Amino acid sequence: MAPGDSPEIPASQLTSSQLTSIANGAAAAGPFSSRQLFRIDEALTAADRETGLTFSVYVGGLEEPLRASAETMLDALPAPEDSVLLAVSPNQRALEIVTGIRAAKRIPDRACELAGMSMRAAFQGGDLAGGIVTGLRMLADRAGTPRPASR
Amino acid sequence: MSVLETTLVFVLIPLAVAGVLALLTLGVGGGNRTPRYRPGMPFEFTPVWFLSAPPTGLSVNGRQPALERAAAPGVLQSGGVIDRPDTVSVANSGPKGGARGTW
Repeated sequence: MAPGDSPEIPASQLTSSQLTSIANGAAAAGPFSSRQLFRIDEALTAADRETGLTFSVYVGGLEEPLRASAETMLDALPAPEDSVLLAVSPNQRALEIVTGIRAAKRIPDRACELAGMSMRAAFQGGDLAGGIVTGLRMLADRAGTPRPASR
Repeated sequence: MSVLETTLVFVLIPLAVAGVLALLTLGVGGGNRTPRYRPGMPFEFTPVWFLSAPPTGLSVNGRQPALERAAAPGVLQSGGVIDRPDTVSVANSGPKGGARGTW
């Protein structure tokens, strides 16, 4: 990690055990620089706040069958019905976007395909963080703000 | 020109220039370059799983039940060890949407 390349990461926003470990200085183990982590964190926070859904991003190996293991990961989240999981497996060169049952009503599969295409284009160029941020933004834009009736 | 001069001008100087360029490209910045993903290269980083906010609903004793629950199936511990999903059963939340693809 470059010394000048470490913006202050709001530790309160870096969550899950992963980000806790990153805040403790284990960022070198991950594929992202602290600046990239910051951008991903920003995009995640914005997506959550705008949509009221829970977005989460996984980058790492997935077990075969990929789809099933990604769905299992979504189910492991606190509110899987309202969650969206972007699972990226660089080794398998696979991307899985999983939406919970209520999230899927707001983000149709076509929108997921579109976001997935943009993400894959970025991944092909080696830009993991950029692709993830793009995907998060596109999905959040599609989901829009929660309807008052549903709150 | 003598043989010595010829060697100096046509061999040593180009070699020096090439050496300086090689140092600039390989040496400077080579040390602090962050490892990054390149398509086609093996990805040997620790898996990461990001959430934007800590799961709400802290229990009375201040622990985070949601995190604990999430820590059971497939979520990475900070040590980087995965409890494989097939060893822990997770309640299915119903049909899911989404998309998939490869690159």
